Amino acid sequence: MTGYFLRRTLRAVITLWVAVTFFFFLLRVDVNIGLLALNMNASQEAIDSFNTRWGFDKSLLDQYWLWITGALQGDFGYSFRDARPAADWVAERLPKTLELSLAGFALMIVIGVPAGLAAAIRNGTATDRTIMSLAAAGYSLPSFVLGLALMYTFAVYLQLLPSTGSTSFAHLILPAATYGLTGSAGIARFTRAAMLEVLGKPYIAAARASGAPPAAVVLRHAVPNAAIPVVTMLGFSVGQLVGHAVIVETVFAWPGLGQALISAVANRDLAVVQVLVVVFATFMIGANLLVDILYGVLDPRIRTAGGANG
Amino acid sequence: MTPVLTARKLHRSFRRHRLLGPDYVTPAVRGVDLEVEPGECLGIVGESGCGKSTLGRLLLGLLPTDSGTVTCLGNQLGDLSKADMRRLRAKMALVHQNPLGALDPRRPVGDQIAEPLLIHRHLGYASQSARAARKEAVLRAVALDPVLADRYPHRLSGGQRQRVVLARALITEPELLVLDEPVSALDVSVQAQILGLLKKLKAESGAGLVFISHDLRVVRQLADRVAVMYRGQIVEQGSTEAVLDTPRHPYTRLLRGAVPSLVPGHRVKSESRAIDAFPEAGCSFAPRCEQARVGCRTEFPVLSSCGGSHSVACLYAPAREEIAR
Repeated sequence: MTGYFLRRTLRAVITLWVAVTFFFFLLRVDVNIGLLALNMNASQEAIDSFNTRWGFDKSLLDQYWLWITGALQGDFGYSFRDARPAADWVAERLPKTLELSLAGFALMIVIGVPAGLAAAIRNGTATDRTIMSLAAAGYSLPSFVLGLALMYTFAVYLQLLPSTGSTSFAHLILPAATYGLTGSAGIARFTRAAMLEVLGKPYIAAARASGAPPAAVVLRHAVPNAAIPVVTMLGFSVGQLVGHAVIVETVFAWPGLGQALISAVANRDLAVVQVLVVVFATFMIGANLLVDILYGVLDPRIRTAGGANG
Repeated sequence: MTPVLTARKLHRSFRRHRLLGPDYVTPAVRGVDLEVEPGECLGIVGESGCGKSTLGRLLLGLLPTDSGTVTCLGNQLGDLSKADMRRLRAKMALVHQNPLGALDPRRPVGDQIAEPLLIHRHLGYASQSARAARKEAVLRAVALDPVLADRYPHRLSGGQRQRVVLARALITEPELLVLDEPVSALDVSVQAQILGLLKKLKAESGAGLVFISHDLRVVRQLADRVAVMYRGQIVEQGSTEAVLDTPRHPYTRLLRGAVPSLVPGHRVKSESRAIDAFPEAGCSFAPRCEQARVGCRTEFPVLSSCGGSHSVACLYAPAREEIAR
């Protein structure tokens, strides 16, 4: 088990390095950064002095070495715009994004998983069809449309909740609901599919044949086995949490990383874009690592395949 | 002796809904009557798709019948409340064809063996130690090393898994055991071990066994009586020797011919005339039968005695002397 854990962690670190390096070069190859960052009318001298000041006149490998050694020490360069450390952007905005996305994620699980379980257990009934119709609607509805609809209903029409901003708990409700409702549709569909597959397995038939009451069959045999794919799916959603927040943050003017990314790209603020890439990649890869580890815990078959003894 | 299991005129068909036109109806079991005495093993043989497994599930009440009755240990299955039915399940067990599929991959096999004791509290294994003792006993009965009880199913061999499935079935001391192709998924050498074990269990437990298989050699080793199924009907029934040594029904003889023989020069007959649709009238085997006559297409053959307990559903079943040859 320890070996499995270490191997997975090492692999995650390498993946992160590859992803970050790839983006480093992608953002710089064959691009005159000075020209991009200033405007089209800037003089050649201004562009050259900009590039010299920020080190873009050095070779790509030199730039990469400076950046990666700095990054390892927590120095991700400086914003072109306000000359503050790029890492400060993250430090300021990450808590806001986490607040929104974790609230949304919790809602997603609390709504999606029970809905999917209920639909699978009541497979083929009106309950199943109702839940699945709602899920299909939620799945097809873009989050910004749902967000605007919720905003119109609860903020504009009923005037119960604030429409934008992030200063109180009331501000969190609408963005988190938008996030959670859209996400829960996919989770419900996936949970249902996973449960239905497991409920069709012979060991479920065997448990029923031995006289186990329906609740025991579901709780003792079906749910633990269906949990494996569902946890995978949830794990991947954790990776997308931060990235996914971009849209919802924009709709509700929520000052998180998503908004930061949009303004940094619009401003050609290279160091900020770069540090945000690092953050998003870390979340994604970290979530995958978490899934791998949970897999080992949940599925005895994986544990044996990865470790020396099981 | 009162039979542990009695089935009367069982019918069951499967319906597949079509958007346009009438539903597809596949009759799986058509008018089956059978009885199993305590300590007796009834073999049910037939080709795949003949309704053997459906019959097994009907007998255990795992699938509702369209019509007909199943009486198990004095209880008519359809009449019981859900709770009573679950309680009765302690006395009737199923052994599934594929032992890996029949075991929960996420729980150690020992837990799964003992689970029926947790489900059936009324059996009186209230304490952990009582359950452990019973588990030990049943592991011994199926000759499974207790060390293996802590393992997960994927870490056992096919034979060990089938022993686990058997142990789980036996732990509540059932009086009826339905074995659906219990050795088909196993290697021949392992088959022999499991068959030996089943013989021993049959002799010791006194439970009634329904042994479903397509393999006549396997059935011959274990069954006291054999019922041959064709397209949902029992076409021949009787003692194992009578049915397998002097088969009266053309289908039984075809089945017997399909078993590869080790005797040199003994020809193996192939089944080339597979026909999908059910004949509208007459014998359902007639389209494949080499001896079919005009009457076979119009008149329905009823299962009737052809000497003692041996019965056959064929209008022109040859006499015993003709078969002996």
